[in-house]
Amino acid sequence: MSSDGVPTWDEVAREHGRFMYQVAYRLTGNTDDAADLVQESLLRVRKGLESYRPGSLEGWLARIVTNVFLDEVRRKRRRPTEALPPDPDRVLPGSPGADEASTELSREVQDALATLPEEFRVAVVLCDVADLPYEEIGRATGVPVGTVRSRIHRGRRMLRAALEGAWS
Amino acid sequence: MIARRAAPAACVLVAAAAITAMVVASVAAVKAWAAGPGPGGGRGEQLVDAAERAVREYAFSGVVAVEWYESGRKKTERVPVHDDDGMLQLGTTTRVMTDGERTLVRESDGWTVLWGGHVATGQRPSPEAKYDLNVTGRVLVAGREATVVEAREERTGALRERLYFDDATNLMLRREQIGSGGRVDRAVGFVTLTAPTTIATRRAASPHPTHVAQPKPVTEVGSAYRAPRTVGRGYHLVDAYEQPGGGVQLYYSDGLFTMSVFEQRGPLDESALPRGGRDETIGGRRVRVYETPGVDTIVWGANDVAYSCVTDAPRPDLVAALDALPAARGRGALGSLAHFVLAPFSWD
Amino acid sequence: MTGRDRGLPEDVLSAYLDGELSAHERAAVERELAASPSWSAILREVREVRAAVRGLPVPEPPEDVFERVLREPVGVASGSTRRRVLGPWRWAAGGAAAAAVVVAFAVPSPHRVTPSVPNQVDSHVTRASLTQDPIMELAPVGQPVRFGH
Repeated sequence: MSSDGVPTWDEVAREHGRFMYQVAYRLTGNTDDAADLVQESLLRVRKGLESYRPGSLEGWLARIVTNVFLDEVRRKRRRPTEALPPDPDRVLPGSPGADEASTELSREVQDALATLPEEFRVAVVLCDVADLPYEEIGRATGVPVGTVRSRIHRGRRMLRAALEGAWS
Repeated sequence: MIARRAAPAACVLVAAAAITAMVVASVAAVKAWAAGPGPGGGRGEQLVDAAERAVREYAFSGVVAVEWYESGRKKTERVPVHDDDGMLQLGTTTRVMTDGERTLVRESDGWTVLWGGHVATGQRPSPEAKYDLNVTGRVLVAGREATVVEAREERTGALRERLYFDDATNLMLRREQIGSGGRVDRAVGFVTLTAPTTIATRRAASPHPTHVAQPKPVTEVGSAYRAPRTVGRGYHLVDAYEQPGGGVQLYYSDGLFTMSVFEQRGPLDESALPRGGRDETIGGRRVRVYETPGVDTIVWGANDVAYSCVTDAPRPDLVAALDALPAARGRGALGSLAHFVLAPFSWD
Repeated sequence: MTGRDRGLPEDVLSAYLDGELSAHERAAVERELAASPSWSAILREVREVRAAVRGLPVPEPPEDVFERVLREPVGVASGSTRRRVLGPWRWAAGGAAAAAVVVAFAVPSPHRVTPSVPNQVDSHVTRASLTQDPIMELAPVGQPVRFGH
């Protein structure tokens, strides 16, 4: 790291790439989209490093991943695309190559996450996967802390309802 | 003139600690279960008196076997021990001496004293809050008749420990930690024990130490660190220390098992960690695990702090503790307060 | 009296679990939890879900995810060209370039720290063996350990 506390792009990819991928995977629910999301995010990181001021690096990175994710969500809403034909070379989510310890329960929780509307999914993932404090989540998503709290709580209650069948 | 230096690298202390504790724990253990109502109540009173005498009055020597698992394979080591004047000595050539208050380690240039008793300022929680202790039978250990005491987690009924006390002297002869499926995950016990005799001579003077190596007890930790009062299932913060090389040690106990959490500022350099560890996923995070006879050490880094957890706790307790450690994934340092204050603790 | 009557919104339960409340607010929540079985039930459910998400395993990224993007020239446009540029491809430079990337990953930063695991084990077991009170005192069992380097 340089003396002013700003990491190099290499360092970000090397030391924080897995963290970014973890957030991306829980937001998107599958390996391919997570990989695309991380790569796009890293490109934005490279551009953004010039103006980055040292602080919570993981908070900043999570913010970028979130913004790229939401941009893509908005883009898809504006221009619906057709599903691509199935590609036998793609690694399917849930296969051993994609996940470590891909248990049934993990799959259920991930699938339940995917059913949440994006703003609730982002709030829950940034809290429980990226482990950011509410203040950071508010900065990452551009909403007040009170809204963050409400989205996290409602997101968790929705998740619980979605998992009801699996757990009862 | 006593000079300060870093603690020695060789870990012979582990054996000293274990065996001292085993011997001295006779008193504590029987007091703990004798205090409560239970099948062993009346007999407990006699054992308490006898145990107190045993610790102060008996000289013994023998061989202790230590058992543990590493990467799924069972391992055993044997250590000769010797105590003829109240000072427990380990090994064929004496390198470690301890009387439960001070531990002395012999190094190339003299003796180093580690951890004088005054650094243990905190009180552990009573094991009765979490565990039930009951006499369950009698067996032979090292050829001697011994009473078996079991410690079960109150909440789940899970068996966690088995302790064996010598019927003749009340010395603790063996301690077993029981894991899932009833497997003995760790054990230390006498395999041979010469018939303990009353100590004839007064304790010889301890060697004069030429070095001191012990961390400094503190009541505050810097803003980069986290010091939760409790972690996991019933592990309470007992003491906190500043480490000689920087960083802090937080010492937790649930009354039966103990756990130290070490925190050190700076991104973790995984490539420089010692060999012999194994990468694992615990509670959703990637960690490096070192299994040793006495304890497991779990190392990970998050948000520019390097964490280690050194513990003999059963795996479910460890998972719960890691999950509860707020800094295990880290929260941003932005806006954090200047210090965490560790107030005096109290147990309900 | 329910939480609503007291003016406490239900989402304070999540903030409570996440450690986002002041001591004063925590005390208010705990009073309410003691008085309200329905709130306790909600807390239990939310705690379970929170733990389930936090317990999700860390997913393993595909091997070449970072390698690829690190080889990207600066100034690549995002958007519609994204998929083509970041799709699977082969570099003509191949092995040497990949090796250079791997080596770059392995060099440690001078500012990193390495916990001294043997010393930490020593510190813990020594502290654990100190007897201070008649409460059960059982230090970790053990034996000389050696760490390679």
